[in-house]
Amino acid sequence: MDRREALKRIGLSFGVLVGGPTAFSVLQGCSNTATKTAWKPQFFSEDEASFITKTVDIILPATGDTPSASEVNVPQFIDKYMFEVIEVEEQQLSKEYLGNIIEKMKKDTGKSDAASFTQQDIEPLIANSLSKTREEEEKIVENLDNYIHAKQEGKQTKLFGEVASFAFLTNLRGLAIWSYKTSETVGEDILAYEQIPGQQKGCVSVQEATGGKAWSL
Amino acid sequence: MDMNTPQVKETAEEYDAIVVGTGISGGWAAKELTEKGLKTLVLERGRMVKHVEDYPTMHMDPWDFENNGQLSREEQKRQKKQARTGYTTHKAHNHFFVDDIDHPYNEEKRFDWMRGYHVGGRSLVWGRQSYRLGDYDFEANAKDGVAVDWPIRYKDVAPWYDYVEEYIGVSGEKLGLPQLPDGIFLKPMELNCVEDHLKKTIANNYDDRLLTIGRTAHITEGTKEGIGRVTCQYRNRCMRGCPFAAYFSSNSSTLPAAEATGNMTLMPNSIVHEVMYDADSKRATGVKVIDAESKETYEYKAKVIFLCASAIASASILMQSKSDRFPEGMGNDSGELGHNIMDHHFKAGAFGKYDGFEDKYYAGRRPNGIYIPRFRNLGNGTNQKDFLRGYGYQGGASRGDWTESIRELSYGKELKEAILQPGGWSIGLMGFGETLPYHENKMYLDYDDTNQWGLPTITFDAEFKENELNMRKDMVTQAMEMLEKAGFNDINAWDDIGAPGLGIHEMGTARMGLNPKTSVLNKHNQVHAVPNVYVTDGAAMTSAACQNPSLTYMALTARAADHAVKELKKMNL
Repeated sequence: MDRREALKRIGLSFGVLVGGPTAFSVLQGCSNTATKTAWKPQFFSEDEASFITKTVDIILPATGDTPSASEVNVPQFIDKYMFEVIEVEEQQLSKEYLGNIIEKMKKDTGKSDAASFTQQDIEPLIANSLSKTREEEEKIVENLDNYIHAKQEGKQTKLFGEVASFAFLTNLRGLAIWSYKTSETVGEDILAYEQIPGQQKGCVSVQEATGGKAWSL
Repeated sequence: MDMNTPQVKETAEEYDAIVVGTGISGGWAAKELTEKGLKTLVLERGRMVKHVEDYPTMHMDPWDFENNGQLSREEQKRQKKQARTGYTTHKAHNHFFVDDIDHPYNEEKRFDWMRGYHVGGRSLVWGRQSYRLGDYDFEANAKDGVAVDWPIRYKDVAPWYDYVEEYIGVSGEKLGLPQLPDGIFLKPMELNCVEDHLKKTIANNYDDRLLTIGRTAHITEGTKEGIGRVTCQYRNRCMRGCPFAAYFSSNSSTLPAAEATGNMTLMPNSIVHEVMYDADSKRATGVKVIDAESKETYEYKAKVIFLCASAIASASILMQSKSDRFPEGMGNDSGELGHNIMDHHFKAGAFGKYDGFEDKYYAGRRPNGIYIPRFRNLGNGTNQKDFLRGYGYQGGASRGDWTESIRELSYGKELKEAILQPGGWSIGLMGFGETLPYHENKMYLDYDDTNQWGLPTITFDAEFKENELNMRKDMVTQAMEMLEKAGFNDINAWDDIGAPGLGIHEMGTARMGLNPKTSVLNKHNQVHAVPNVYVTDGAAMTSAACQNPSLTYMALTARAADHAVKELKKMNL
């Protein structure tokens, strides 16, 4: 039975049947200036939000036919997610790491406020923090563990700038990719989106399945 | 609340049968008893869930959920235990799992009691894997000298497996294996390219095992009875409730069938806490109920009672059913009530990646995985010295996402392009192992720590032991070896035992047996000393086998209902 027939049989028509809690989404739409000026970050300060926005756009920039992270409201998603979902301890660490990064950026650039950092200012930090070999990464994770343990035990300890940048930016990248791929624009219009596939095929060519794209869902 | 002086409302109406619970087992009891003409009262402790109407998230895409479906910190506080699975408390379906603050339980040792209080119970959110037990399983306790013998054999249940499979629809492949008897199958779902590759290399390298597609309770061709039950549309959003009713649930299938007879009275928000007993007739007379919302109490009477409230809850109801005859709880002459808790131990196996098949993909979101049936301790050189029984593997291969892209393409245009294309192939094999019944693995009632209805809370004291731990080593070793032989790379061992309950296959708390001195139920699922009380959920299991158990609960329930109606007609109950 094909999808249309199945739908007819149970008397449902999709599109009017998105039931339940009002489908509010922070990821709706991607008109930039309007939403950007309207956006009042809850977790990040205005300065931090400006830094986050530029950073996620370096990680996921606009290209010819696909939007940048900020064009699909990734910064808003991350702000809300960090405000409402993650553990309080994680919130505190994130704020601490981010503060550490911004302080270091100020020193390196000689600029006194984070809002005036440019993408050119930020990119070297990202290149340096996110392009690690597996060994370097393991070393950093170990340092991070030690830091968190020492802190839990109430010891005075100092966080390596490198460790803070890695920890925060790795997390940020994960969240950015996740929210980018699950934004309405990317999920419906850019990735291969089939809300109701109707059939299953185990082994087909990529071309036949999606024309080269990843599945959205 | 003073339970000694309740304002009991005795209802005038007497029923032929009472069914407690509306999950996999209760739905079947309701259907069978009403179709055989019994006026049946079906009591569910939780809220009503109507098919389709009460599936609020069934059409929601990721972007329709706030925070991508993750619970806020405030919401997380209410489902801390339910969240232990790592998957149940997503916004897509967390409304089908209990609020841990409203429904507390106690743990002497960690026990993960995952459940939903609503019409349909866990039949709405189950894994749908449907495997028969065979005589290797029914004979195992007797052969190994473990616990007590099952009072039934495969031939006793086989026709009921047929009956149930025919009705619910199970897709799968016939294999002719005695340890995993074939059933009545709809066409199997398809393996993907990498799974098929593993299947072939296993066939080339091993005589003792094979790989097949999972047998799952989905309609893959045609339709089935119930409410508009049609072929699977491959959305893989099953746990939200299926608008196509393509997988089996009480809500779309057995309860509508019972409703259609005109013989069912379904009452949600009705917490059964006690089965009443009459010493003269040596029969149960009915049940005591608390209205979950008003907290008023009621008594309902019937000729026969089916406890299908889940292994833990059915045992708890019997334990609360104290009388002069049964001071330790109804049917507990053996002292085994609440003991012998089993679950499957799982989350042990291996992961690997595969280089190749880059030009291959799949279509449709298959709500199913692969299965490698048990191959240990079946005689003929398969016997192990370190453990009894065996395990099957579940798992699957897929094309990954961005995580493997980020090492080389850490940020920028290339990373973005990579995350929008299919990633590399990876595979996971996860063993589901049999847990032995240990008398000391138990639950009991805490009357000092009562819940909001004044009822005792449940305390768990159960753990996995040496046999399970030894079996897990083999689960890991064999999974890694199969993946190595198939040319996978980056193979990683996995062993994360969690705690009993995490498999959501809790069972064994009122086991069947031949002897009333060592078991709670007889071969028809009747309480030995109270023959008009049947227990047909996971509580009845004498051993766990390694197969997912729901299909067996359904078959045992249909079989017991048939017995009950015949006995009623003979005036034996």
